[in-house]
Amino acid sequence: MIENSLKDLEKKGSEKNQPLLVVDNIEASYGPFRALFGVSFTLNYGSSIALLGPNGAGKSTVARAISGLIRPGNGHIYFRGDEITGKDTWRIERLGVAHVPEGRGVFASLTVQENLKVFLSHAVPKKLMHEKIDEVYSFFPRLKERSLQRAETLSGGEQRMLALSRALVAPPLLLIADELSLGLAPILSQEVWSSMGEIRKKGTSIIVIEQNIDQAKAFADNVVELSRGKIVESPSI
Amino acid sequence: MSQLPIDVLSGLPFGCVYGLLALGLVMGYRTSGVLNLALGAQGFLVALFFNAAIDDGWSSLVSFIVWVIIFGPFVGIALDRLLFRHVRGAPVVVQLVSVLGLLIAIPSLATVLAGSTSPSPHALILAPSTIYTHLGGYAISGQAVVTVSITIVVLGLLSYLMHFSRLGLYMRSVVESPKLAELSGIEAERVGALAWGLSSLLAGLAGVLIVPILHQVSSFSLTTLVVAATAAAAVGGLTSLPLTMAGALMLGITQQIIAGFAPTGAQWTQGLRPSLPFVILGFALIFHPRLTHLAGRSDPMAGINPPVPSLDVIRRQVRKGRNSRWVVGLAATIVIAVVALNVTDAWAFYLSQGASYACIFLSITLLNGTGGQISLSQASFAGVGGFVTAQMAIHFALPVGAGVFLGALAAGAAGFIVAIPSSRLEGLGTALVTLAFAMLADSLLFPLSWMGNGGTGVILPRPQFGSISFNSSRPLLLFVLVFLAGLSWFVVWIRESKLGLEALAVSSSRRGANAIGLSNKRVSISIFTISAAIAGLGGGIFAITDQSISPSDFNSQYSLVFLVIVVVLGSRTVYGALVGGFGYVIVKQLLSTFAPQSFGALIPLVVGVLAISWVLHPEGLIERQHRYITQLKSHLPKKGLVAASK
Ligand SMILES: Nc1ncnc2c1ncn2[C@@H]1O[C@H](COP(=O)(O)OP(=O)(O)OP(=O)(O)O)[C@@H](O)[C@H]1O
Ligand SMILES: [Mg+2]
Repeated sequence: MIENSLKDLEKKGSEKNQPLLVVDNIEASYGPFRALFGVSFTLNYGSSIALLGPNGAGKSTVARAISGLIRPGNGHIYFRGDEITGKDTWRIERLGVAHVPEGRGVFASLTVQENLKVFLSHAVPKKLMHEKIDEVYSFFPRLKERSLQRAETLSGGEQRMLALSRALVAPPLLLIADELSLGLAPILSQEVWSSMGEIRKKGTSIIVIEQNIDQAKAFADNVVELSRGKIVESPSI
Repeated sequence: MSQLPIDVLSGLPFGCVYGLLALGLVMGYRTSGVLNLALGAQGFLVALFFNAAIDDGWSSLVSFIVWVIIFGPFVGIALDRLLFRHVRGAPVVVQLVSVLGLLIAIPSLATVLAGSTSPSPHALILAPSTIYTHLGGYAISGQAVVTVSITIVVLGLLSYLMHFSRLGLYMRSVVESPKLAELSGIEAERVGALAWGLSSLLAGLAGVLIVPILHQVSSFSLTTLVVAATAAAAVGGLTSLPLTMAGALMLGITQQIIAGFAPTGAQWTQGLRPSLPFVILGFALIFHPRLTHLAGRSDPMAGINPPVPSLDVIRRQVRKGRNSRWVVGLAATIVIAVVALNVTDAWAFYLSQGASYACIFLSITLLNGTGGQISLSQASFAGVGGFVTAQMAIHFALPVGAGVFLGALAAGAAGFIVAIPSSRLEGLGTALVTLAFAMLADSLLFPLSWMGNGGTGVILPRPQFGSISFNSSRPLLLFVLVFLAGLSWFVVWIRESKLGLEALAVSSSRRGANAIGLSNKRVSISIFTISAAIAGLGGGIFAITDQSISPSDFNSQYSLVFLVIVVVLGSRTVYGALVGGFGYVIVKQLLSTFAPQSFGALIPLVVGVLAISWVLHPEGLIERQHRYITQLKSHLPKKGLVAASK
């Protein structure tokens, strides 16, 4: 389980400042449309990156390529030293990569509780499932009130909470959060950001994709700026 | 004693079997979006082996475990690996051809594997027709006890699985969004494979249970069981398992009630019972709110998939230059002249038969290639055309040429009637409405004495224009070939006409076409009607060539084969239809002359395998060749330039 590998990491401690994720010159297209033109960056164990850029820059595409939702046409991605380019999404998830996609990101026809069971299915041991779901509920009491409601009946913000909950209660090795706090009320958004900070303390490395530039820069160790599918060498932001 | 409870009781086992199969359909459809019309054929395969093994002295329990419990799911999982997994999210026509390929191939494969003598029917447990008990004065037979109780057990297990087990939860999550499920570490493909295994298990169970009720192991009746199951699944909106089961029970019981009340003997009542499923299917498709929007599944991760290339882009690649069309026309003329003057009379006959098929196939080229629509009833329209041609000739002594024209009109009218409901639907919905029509034509329309005249068919003379007689096949061939050339030109002309371009716009994007004020309905109904009329012409030509036509020439199964042939050869150019039409008779003729008899059984297998292999290369074989050549042409000078500039 990922929890254990996080603990292993803490014990060793030696892997700090080693690269966890290496993205090496990846290119990606949607059918005939090229979205990425050779993007490279490195993320060390325990550190965090803010992926910034205008709409359509290719931020979500980078996230999708890492989690295996799309196959890069060219280039390589290494996770903990092993190549994961083009691997199946579920395999990459089981290696410890959690990708919270942008948008709705929940199963509309399943209840809140069923959604949580699916999200946590491979992230926590079966024994701990109930405990972890309760943990989610104490973080987002609104979800508890609605636990037997179908997710499609939740408000946009509530759906966002649901989508984020996995990362909060079962921190992975690498968390990719696309549009982390979009649609959340300011207070809740602050809470989510501070819990991100806690997750990071536990050793999770984080890639945040965020429109709120100040927030993202304040949070992340490094900034990677994208524009039109390429990395901007001297960040303007 | 009242008749009604007896009918209900005797309808129940049928309802249960329909229900099991329908649940299998829904499971598969929900996890992968493919409506597996070959599921009945899979059930047949299992039932065949199950009964054959008992014939060989196996005990029914061992046979059940080996064939139903192990082999059944294995077939489903294997098919998922080889086929279904690759067509998830593919255009409906691709999915349809893949399952039709199976539907055509499996019975033929079964005869190859198990020999052509069918095994005797065996019951799982309890003798089917023995009366074991009485319920409120009504006799309960072994078949009722077994079928109903097994169904109840299966239903219980299934609802537990879907709603209380992890696997069921995973299945439901994969149904909604495979990608989102994978982001949670769920192996969507494996879950899909399990769903197909389960679906196939249910099919095998249905097959094994229906055999003792039908008293035979019949490929036809088991394969067509899928239509009743589809009707039941349609009642459940292709999603709800309980509603599906309710629909199936209702169907089984209503059939028995109709059989009990309707007067016996009349032609139409004989057709009524078998056609009930098609009627229900038609109604469900037209009125079920969920079915009218089958395309709109709500995957939150749909934004990741690359856009489907617009048809215009594809079309532009295959569109030919005007000049080359003249060359083609000239070549066609020469070929027609040479062929018509040099073939033997027998081959002239076969070739004009081929031309009639080519004509029917052109109707599919128009409908699918230009209109982007799918029809599973083109053979039925051809039948309507052929029968009207023949009936006009014998009853009204009309000149046969005029009869062909009237036949085309009648087929067009039938097409118009079918097009009205189907224009409200998309892809799969249209396919199912037309399938229902084709089945109705088989069981209600063609048996009528003033239409297809039942099994006997209709006999008619060859046409006569003034002093030109077409009694000999060579002049007929010449005439038919010229006609076919004209028709090919017409199909190309429509594609480039205003209507064709509108159809193109509609098929590329229904919403987009709506937005620019095009009426989808008018366009798709027009194309459908013209296409049905063309199929009717083909049927008429077939009738005058053969000098006879019977319902078995154009039953609903031909519609499936025709669609597969045209789509596989390429429905975007007329060449696919032409090669298909002539190829069809030439291959058939060569095989019957040179190959041993048993090869006949192999033809469907070959067609099925071709269809399935096409699914991996959906541009169509002829078209691929064509495009390859155009690509070569366009590449050569470019390469030359590049080389020169270096
Ligand atoms: N499914 C798709 N099909 C075609 N093109 C796509 C698809 N998804 C994204 N694109 C294109 O790829 C480019 C990058 O998209 P991406 O979603 O990665 O941008 P982004 O940086 O995440 O933007 P935003 O801030 O708006 O979320 C865009 O030009 C977009 O139009
Ligand atoms: Mg984005």
